[in-house]
Amino acid sequence: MATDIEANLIEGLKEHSPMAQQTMVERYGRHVFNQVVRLLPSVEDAEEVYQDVFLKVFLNINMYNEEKASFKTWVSRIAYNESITWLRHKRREVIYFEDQGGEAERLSETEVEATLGHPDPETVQLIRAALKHLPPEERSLITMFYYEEMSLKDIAYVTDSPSTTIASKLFRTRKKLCKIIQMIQS
Amino acid sequence: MKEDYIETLHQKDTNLRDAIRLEEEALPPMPADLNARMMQRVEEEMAKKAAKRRRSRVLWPMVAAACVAALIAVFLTPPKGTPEDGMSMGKPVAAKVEKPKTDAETPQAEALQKVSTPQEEKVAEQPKAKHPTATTAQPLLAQEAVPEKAATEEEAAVIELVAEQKAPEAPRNETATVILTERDIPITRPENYKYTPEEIALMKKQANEAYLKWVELELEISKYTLEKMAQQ
Repeated sequence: MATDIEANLIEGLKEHSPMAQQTMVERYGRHVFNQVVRLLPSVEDAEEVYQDVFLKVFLNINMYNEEKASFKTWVSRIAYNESITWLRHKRREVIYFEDQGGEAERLSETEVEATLGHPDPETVQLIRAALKHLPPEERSLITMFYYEEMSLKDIAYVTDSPSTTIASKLFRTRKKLCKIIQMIQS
Repeated sequence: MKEDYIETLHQKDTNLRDAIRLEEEALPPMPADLNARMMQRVEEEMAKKAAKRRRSRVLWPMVAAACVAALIAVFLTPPKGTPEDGMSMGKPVAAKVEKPKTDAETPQAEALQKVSTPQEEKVAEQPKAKHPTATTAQPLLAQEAVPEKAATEEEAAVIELVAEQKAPEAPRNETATVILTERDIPITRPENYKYTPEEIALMKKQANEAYLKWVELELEISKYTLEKMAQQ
């Protein structure tokens, strides 16, 4: 449910009010930029996509349905889709870790919890290094879940996938991270 | 159940959460002028879109009006007329000419039209012109004078008839000079392909006259030779 301030903002955006647009940019700009720059390889690309995202938000504001998701989630969905579309169109060659042999899948939940759960600064650095080897979609997924603390339902709305698929992907990504850490350590 | 378990991972995976937080903090900062540039671009795009909407709003009634006008023009334009009905573009004058003709469609009027043509007038006047030549031969051959007189009387009657028929034609000829068409040329009229009874009568008379003159000439020649022989 949208708050009164958010409702007023949406009304202003529907009337194409420059003040409402400015408020919108100030309020959600940082969040959108982080989401975009997380997925894209360079800041220049992120700036281009960032502008496209807001342009799309302003032009398609009438399509927003507050019953489906919050305004922030709707904006995140547009930002995610714009970034993924950009990545697919540009076809930048980036090397990511792929669990071809299914070795990550064979890791037990105890092993994963031991690596990711017990507080250890060294492991944190290892995880940071491992995150760089994840594909952008997966990195974005765990960021939305762990950092932005979005619910599975909201993540499912942003990525346009079922909640169960998101849950499976999260499990797989955790195991993949553990596998990468093991590979780095060995 | 799996989803419920997943929801508890926030608290469990502390290392992962810290690592992601650090990664997020290490992200490049947003350029200070990015929002200004973006707002400028938004303004441009909005203006472009508004202009496009305005253009389409202004253009569509004009396009619709043009289509309607074209349709009306197509439906109201009369079909190309055939030469017979005189409605074709090239024959508006012919229609005017034919109107008085249709008013007087009686056989007499048709005969009048045929006689009124200049070529036929010449033919009609020909016996009149030849009449003096016939009269010059009168003193030479006195016995032939009586039939010739009868012939000239008949001829005069024909000429009178022609003159009578010509009289109503006179005003018509005046207008014909203005509205003359191909159909008005006598030789192109199908009704003029055959000789009229009057023309046939005229031609017979001319033939008779010519025969008589030939006989007169032969007699004169024989008379002259006889006189010459008598002198010798």
